[in-house]
Amino acid sequence: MNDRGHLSSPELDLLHASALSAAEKAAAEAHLTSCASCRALSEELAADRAHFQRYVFARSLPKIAERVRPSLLERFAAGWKLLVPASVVGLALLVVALRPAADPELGIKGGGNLQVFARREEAVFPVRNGTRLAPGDRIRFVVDPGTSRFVLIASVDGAGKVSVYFPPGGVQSAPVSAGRNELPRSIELDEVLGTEQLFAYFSDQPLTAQDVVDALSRGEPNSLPGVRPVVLDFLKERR
Amino acid sequence: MNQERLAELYRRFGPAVYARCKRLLRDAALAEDATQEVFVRVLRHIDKAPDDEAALAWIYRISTNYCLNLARDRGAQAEPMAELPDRPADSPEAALVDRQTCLRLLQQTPEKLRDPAALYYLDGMEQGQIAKALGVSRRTVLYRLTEFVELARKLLGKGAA
Repeated sequence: MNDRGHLSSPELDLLHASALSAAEKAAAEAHLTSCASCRALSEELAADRAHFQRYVFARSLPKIAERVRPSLLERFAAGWKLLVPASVVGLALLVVALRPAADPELGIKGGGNLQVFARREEAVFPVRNGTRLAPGDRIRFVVDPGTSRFVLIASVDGAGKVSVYFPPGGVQSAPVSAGRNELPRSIELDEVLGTEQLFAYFSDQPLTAQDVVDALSRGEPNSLPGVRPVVLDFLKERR
Repeated sequence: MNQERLAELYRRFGPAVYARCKRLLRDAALAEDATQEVFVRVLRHIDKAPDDEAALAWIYRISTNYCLNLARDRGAQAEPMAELPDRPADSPEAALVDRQTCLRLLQQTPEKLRDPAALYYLDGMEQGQIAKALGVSRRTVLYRLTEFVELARKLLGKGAA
């Protein structure tokens, strides 16, 4: 809280990005219960972030990519790091390290990793961030849970609709064994076009599918306590 | 690989940029366009990016300056001074609590004063944090905020006239 008795913009942004420490988060949330002006800003921020994640991201990412020369993007490859303030009292720092993704295998340190493969007619190929797929293609998942024991994979399609892909029809994360697991069944991609995001949640305890759907519907994929999803985006367009 | 890095960066910081643009422009379509422009600027000026805790404030500054200039150029939010709220000219700080009044004043403020004023009045950051973000002393921040309040007093006085 600042010296005027309110939460600052960085605090609110970090709160919604699930990037505050537990103590800072608790303090911020306690303040929001008693401060109407901060609460109004926080609610506005949450709505805008959700709108971005549901609609704006998919529409605008290709346009930005077209305008950015590869040489600029190469600078990120050097491992540039962003450190952003975690609070006005300067407690913790959020470190966003731009790490190279193991390609086509995506993972998080200490968590699990996800591979996605697509089948189109007789061809099978790996799906990476930005891979172009088409309605009717079928995708399958291969996961390695690392030290985790459960996995749940969900999707946010180009229209913002959230679906749980694995376990199919399940109400909570499914247990997986250590090492490489080829998950059963494939998903046939529907007619909704645009960028689709896949979220693989690896956890030590099962997550309820409804909690995951709610978090993704709010546009807050990182809001489930103690769990950070592995994320992969692909573009669905007509061939 | 490059596309992946762009997507990752955009996923992490895009929501904050969009929310900032929407808050300043009050229009979802304008904010979406502005988000793209701001993000391209962020990428173009990446060499100037601070690698310390001022990074988020740095992104706010780029967003704020772009949006306020856009609003001024489009006349989307720039209102004639006569339409500024009729407030006592001797209490500009009270007027600055109102976000819309603050935005209108910032549109008419030189960038040198606008940067610290926006971070202080719009973003609620402390003077020490602003000093670090702008790479100036805290005393300079205080001086510029005082200058901004004086400018606001004049503008509000003119608006009330």
